[in-house]
Amino acid sequence: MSRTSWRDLPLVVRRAVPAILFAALITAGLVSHVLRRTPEVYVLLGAVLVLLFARSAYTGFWLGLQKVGVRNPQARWETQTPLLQRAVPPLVIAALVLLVAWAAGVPPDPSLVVLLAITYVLYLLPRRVRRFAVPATVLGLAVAYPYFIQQTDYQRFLFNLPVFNAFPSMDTMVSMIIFAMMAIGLNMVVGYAGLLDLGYVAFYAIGAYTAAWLASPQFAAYGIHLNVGSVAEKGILQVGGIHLTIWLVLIVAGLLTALVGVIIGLPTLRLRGDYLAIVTLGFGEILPQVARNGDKDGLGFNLTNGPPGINPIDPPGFGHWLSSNFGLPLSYLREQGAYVNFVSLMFWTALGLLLITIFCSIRLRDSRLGRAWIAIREDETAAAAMGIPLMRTKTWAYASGAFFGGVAGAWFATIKTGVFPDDFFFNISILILSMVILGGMGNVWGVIAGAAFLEYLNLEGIANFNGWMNDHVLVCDPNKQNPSSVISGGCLNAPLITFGIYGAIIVLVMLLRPQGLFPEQRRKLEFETGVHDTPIQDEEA
Amino acid sequence: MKEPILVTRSLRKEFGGLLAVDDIDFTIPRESTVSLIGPNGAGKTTFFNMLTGVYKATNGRIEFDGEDITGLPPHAITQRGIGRTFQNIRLFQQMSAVENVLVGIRGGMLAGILRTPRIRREERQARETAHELLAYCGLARRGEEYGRNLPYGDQRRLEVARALATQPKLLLLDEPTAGMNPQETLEFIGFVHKLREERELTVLLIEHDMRVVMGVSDRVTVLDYGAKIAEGPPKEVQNDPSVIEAYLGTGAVAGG
Repeated sequence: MSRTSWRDLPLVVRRAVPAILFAALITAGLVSHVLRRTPEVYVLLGAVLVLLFARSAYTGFWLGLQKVGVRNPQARWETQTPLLQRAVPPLVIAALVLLVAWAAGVPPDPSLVVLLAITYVLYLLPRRVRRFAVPATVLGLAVAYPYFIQQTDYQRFLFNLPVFNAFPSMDTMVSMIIFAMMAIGLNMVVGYAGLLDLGYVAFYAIGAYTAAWLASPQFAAYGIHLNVGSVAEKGILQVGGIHLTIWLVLIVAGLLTALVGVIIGLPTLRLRGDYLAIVTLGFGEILPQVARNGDKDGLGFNLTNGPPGINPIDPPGFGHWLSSNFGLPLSYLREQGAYVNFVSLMFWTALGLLLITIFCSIRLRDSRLGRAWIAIREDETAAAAMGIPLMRTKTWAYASGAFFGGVAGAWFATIKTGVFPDDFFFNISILILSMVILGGMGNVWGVIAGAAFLEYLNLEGIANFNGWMNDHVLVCDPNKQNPSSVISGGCLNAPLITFGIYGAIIVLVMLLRPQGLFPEQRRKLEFETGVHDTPIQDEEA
Repeated sequence: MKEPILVTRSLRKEFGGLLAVDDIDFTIPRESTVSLIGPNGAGKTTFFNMLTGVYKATNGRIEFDGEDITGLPPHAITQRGIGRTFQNIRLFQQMSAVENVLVGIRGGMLAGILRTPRIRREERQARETAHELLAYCGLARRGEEYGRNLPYGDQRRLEVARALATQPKLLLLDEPTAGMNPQETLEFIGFVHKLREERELTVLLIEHDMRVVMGVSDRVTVLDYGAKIAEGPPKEVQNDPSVIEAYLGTGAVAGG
């Protein structure tokens, strides 16, 4: 594919475009001034311009130095020590940004400066140290997140994100983590083993319902009573039903979901490619339907409590022994501290589960099993000829993917303190798959980034962006706005078209970067050259 | 000759109305090199694919090492000791050469998460074996390169190395010298000899290049339209009138 590059354009155009852009910038600035908007638009346009012309600015910089009288500035610069060459350019850029911000009247935020400084130090570290320092720092910041976000005046400590206004709230963060877990699980199926699964929501549903069965009064009506270390309140325990401690629930939910994965996988995994996708799509629809109809009228036995779902589910907690001996929280619900409370405990636990998921995912990828998955993804026929049992290996991929989907589902149900069948629509399958594709199939870190980004957009991002557009870009009059139309009274109502926006993002990514934002090394190759998994056809088998 | 390692009894394959392999009785003696030749479309690769379980035979029986392997899935057949290469090279292109070989080495599948000392030791041993196999096949320095980046001849060698990793007793090579230049072909003949002598392997070869067939085979079997038309030592088969007819057309014998 050949693309016309900037350099191929006639000189007139190359001169005219920046001029037009600058004119647009000044106009936008004037308009925003007249409309009394804050100067963010101005800064943003400036940033776009700088990015567009970074290369010309770079060469221009050296030429300028030469004009001033410095001899061979670039050559002399390149003889400096590597550390110096690494260290100085970001400082120059930072100084320029500060200058612009100061001119625009936007004071630099102290917490932003701190974050940038940390990034800068990490960037300067030698590669070997950085490999460990970066994850450690990210983890540290993540663990400390509830302390910052739950300050009553946290905006004094954390800067406002440009355009998106605020940092994600605790609830949003927990959702992002849970979806990251599910995306990692799906990535084992789709990314590692190359089996397109369009019904992943089924595993999420099974995990969630398992949590509901094992930690709620659901089965009390049938005289089934069991209490194993549950920290539910006395009143609920007296009602009866099965009450297991959450830690057991998580494990059982994972195992049960993996088992269902195997059961679903055995008949379906004989299929290849599109056929497999269609069958998984079917299963993704069947299981939520079972959930919706699995009550007394539908099944004769109240398994899922039908459309209203099962509610409440017991809160998590560590129980008396761990609480009195190790100071761990007895029940998450009872923790009412300013920082250590229900939502932050949920967050930390989710973070822990995510870490375990990442660990297992990476270990599996680098094991014999992981290699077998990749071999199957690349060429089933050759993989079988190497002695890899196709069915068993694919089923393991399905089961491990399902396991983490189930754990994530169980945790999500626990956080919501209930399961509701309407949470398990087909669009969730597609959402999770989009996370995997957007982030970069096969790469755990990319998939996490994709999941965090899309789930953030889903819960807050699009609404925040919408608010910013209305406040700073559009001429919005809330009194004239019609809440059911996308554009009215000069206002935008983007949350109405959330899925349209996802669609646009995915289409854009597929056009500009089909391998995803952070592709796995191998996948990158695949996209550059294409794979040729032509099956040897056997019409009779 | 020694007792056979592989025996097929009236092996038959039909694709709908097309008869691809017509009741072939065929034996491979232990530690021999047998070639399968025939014009294009004679059913050689179909026969191969039945031996390795990729196709299910319409009728007939395959015995390997005294065991009936008819109808077993490909991986089970590989695990019993039949390794193969493909006519159109089917490497795992996005894996390095070592990883390609590692895929073939047997070992436990699930314990990878725990990475116990035993698993670590297994993995280390597997890597050593993989590097040894690569060196054996003349790819000592190519270990970290991606399959697809290797030159053509090396890709063929890598396919053999990968097949050897499954510890085969019988190695099936499907047109291994296709696309090789005369020098590479010559080296390959030497390599097949080496395999047989040092590894006590039995080799079944599909080949078009007569120099290779004559150079390595103990016995040649000729297929035409799915049927066996001749069998015997290379020299004999070469002069068999029905073989010449199959390759050159009717009347060639009389005219020649």
